[in-house]
Amino acid sequence: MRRPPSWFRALLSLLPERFRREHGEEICELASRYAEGRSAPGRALVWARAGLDLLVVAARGRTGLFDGLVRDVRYGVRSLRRDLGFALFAVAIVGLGIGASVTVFSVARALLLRPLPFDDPDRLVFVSNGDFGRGQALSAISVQSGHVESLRASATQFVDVGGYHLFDREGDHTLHLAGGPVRATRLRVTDNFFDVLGVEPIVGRLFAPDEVLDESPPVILLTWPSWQRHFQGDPGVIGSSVRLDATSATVIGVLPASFDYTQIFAPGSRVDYVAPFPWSERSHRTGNTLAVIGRLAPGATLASAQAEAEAAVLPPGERINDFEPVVTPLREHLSGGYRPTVLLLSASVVLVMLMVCANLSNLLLARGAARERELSIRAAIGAERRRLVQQLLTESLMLAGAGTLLGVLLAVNGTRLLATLDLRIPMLGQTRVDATALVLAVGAAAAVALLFGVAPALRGTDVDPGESLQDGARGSSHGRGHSALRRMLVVSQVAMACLLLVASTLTARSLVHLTRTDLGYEPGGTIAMRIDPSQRFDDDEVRVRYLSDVLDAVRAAPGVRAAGLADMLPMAFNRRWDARAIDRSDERVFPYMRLVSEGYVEAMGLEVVEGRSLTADDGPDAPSVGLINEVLARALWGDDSPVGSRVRTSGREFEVVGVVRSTRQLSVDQEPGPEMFLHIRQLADHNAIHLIVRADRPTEDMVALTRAAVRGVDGRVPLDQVVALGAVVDSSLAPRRFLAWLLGSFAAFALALAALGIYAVVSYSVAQRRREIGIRIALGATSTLVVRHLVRDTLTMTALGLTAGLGLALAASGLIRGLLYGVAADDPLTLGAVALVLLSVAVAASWLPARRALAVSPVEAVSGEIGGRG
Amino acid sequence: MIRRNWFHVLVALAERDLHGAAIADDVLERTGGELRLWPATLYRALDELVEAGLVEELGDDERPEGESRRRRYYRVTRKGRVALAEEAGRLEALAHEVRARLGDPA
Repeated sequence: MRRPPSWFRALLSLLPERFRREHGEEICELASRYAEGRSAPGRALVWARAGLDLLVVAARGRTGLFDGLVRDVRYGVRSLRRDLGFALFAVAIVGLGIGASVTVFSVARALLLRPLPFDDPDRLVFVSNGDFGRGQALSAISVQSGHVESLRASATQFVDVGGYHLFDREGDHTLHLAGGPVRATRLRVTDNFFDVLGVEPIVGRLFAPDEVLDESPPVILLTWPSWQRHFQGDPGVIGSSVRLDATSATVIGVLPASFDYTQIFAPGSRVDYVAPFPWSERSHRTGNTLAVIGRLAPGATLASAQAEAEAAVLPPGERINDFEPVVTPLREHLSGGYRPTVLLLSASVVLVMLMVCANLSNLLLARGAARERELSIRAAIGAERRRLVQQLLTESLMLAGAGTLLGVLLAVNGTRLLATLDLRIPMLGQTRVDATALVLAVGAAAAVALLFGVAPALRGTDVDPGESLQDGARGSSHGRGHSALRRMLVVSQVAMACLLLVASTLTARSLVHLTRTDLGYEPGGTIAMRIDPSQRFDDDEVRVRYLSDVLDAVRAAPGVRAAGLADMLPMAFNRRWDARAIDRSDERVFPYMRLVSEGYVEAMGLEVVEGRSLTADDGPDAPSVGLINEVLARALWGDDSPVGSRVRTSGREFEVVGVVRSTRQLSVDQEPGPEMFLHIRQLADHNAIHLIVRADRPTEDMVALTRAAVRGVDGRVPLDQVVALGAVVDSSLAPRRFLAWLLGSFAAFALALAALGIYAVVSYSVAQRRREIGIRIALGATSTLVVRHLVRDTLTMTALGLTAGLGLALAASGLIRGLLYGVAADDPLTLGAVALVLLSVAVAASWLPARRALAVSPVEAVSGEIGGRG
Repeated sequence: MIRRNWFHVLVALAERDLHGAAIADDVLERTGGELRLWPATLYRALDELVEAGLVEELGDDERPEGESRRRRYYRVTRKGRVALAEEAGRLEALAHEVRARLGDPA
């Protein structure tokens, strides 16, 4: 029989001492028996139910506190049921507030706070290559392996330094399984990579020294998902040989599930197996390949590690590429870039939560005022004030408790949804609502209930039975105190809504600017798919002939306007090579390098501004040619024409035959860098190729037509990764879109709360002043005058709130500045628009109840007063 | 009228002496899985029944043979039997009344 969970045993201690001693063991035994033979969730349910039962019995067994509590809860349930609308609304806003807070906190925790799943992760550093600038350029974070070897050899500030190969692409390899071949993604790492991270295989072993040489027979480690998917988690696969591409490899181990490489280093991708990347001359010659991770030695600092890395850079004669090491903590490298976003979101949910509190407080105050008579009667028949306060607090705690339940439910679903979104943000996929977040939620709710329940409770019970009962419906002297407090709450709500509106408007406008940004090419109406002739044809010449046939077939398909090939798509993958203009200067630049065919320029919608495009005649035997973009032209030739000049790269010379307009290679929000296009027919340095097609057809038709044309040439060449280029661009904007969407919903929620706050205050004031309004009308005040009075009152509150809100928005602009694109943080148009929206909402929210004041008939208002006395 | 939990516990004990878990099993089975007595509720009901004098706990020498001392055994008292019989009579009368109102000849 299973043992009861430890929390259940802990609950036992709540039972009265004698009862526990006599029946504790048997209670556990019976609960275990109920739990037996059920699935895990079923068991959890049974234990929860038994735990609840235990709590109820424990509460009933105690006198005093619990007795009072049970009575208060019962009374609270009754009283809230009578006022169901109020209760549901309060629970809903507390739930939304807590849901948003817990979700954002969980994201912050996953991205910035929770330790990386490695051994002593705070000692891990990333060594990037400053020469290439920062950002998403892959070459900017990769280093030639020789530099790293040199650093390893001299390391005193590092325990060790290793790395992973950055240019293994998704699905580039084929794993032949019993059920047929599957596309597999390789990750190559240095032999010590897992030692640096402190990751141990769960089955088998890591690479041995004689397995990581250039000529070693291939060995691989499986990742956990691949082991499960392809080998059904069979430990027998260790030591066996699998067919991989054209060779066979021995499986030597399986990495643990906790080593989620893709989640941490390459979100949105996947890895099936890990192979060694040798420390060899050949590896060194392939240029910038390694992303470098080191573990700091005891006592070493970032600065000392930085100095050591700089000293280890190879001298010019021994290197192809420069290395300007920049040592940063690994976590900083992975998710530091998201810190501003997370901070902004955190600040926003704090505001949302404060607004919820203000609103709740406002509601409770209003309710307290409405219940004045009820409380007076209870006080008159002898209820102590302490009991009344306790009663009201119990009610607000109940509301907060139900709200928390709703909020946690929302947060659990919200984070689950978030984790499935393909935003390509490291560790976002690991976002979970954990125990800390739950404690936070419960703590926040309790604080809300107490802080914002106490004032209304104290006020509500501060009644003189005699006066209040005689006074009838009209607010007595402290009614004015009520409304002053409620006005303050409204002013602060307007201020907070203003802040949130400013933030969301700025973010949304940035997004609009970005979607309208000229990318330099035309992604609409273009699709791409990947074909891999290297899987089928060994011979370079046959492969080039195959590609020509494919292009011819696709171009002949109906509706196709242009078709071309490229070894990588913009915004999906990138690579930089060094290049030098011969006879111009010795200055080296590092353009993005793409291998493309004739037709690429046309299919992508690039514009040739000078010279010519690439043609099919630029074959293997023709002179080597290339295109450059305007940025590269300006960098190397200034105002002179580069056409006809020669560029040296990759150990060969190419003649520049044309200049194309610059495109945004990395993402929509990063300016174009230098770029060069070499002809795929002249440089067979590729495996899989992207076929890019532009046509006047809907995307699905285009895909079907192209697929059919490719299959028609050869049915056995693998074909995958079909995308619309528009979708590739879109996904590069996905995180921003998501941020804008989140802030937008926060702002909308805040605006609604502020409007409700205003509405409630004006309604209340109309109700309180029925007699006064009636008398005014009786004395000849026109209806316009009365409405104007009420609306003016609202406008004063709104103006105060706006002033505070806009002031705060300007003061906090530093928080958002870095996240904006094409709009300033103090953009007057945005601020003005927000002010206008808030003012209109305020007028609308006060107009409705003010109109109600007009319906007051003078006779009724005054006589109602007399009737109230009766 | 006897409380529902008390009633079912008494019915379980009417036939033979049982320990707590066996009582819970009997109730669950007899009610076709409808009524599951949750542990703390069950033992609290037993305590209350003992206090009301409807049930008594077996002494050490009265336990069935071979049973460890870990489990407490219970037996219905004379007063308990009377109360149960009264309840049965009440239910019978009630059932009779219901049938009459429904026009059911039985």
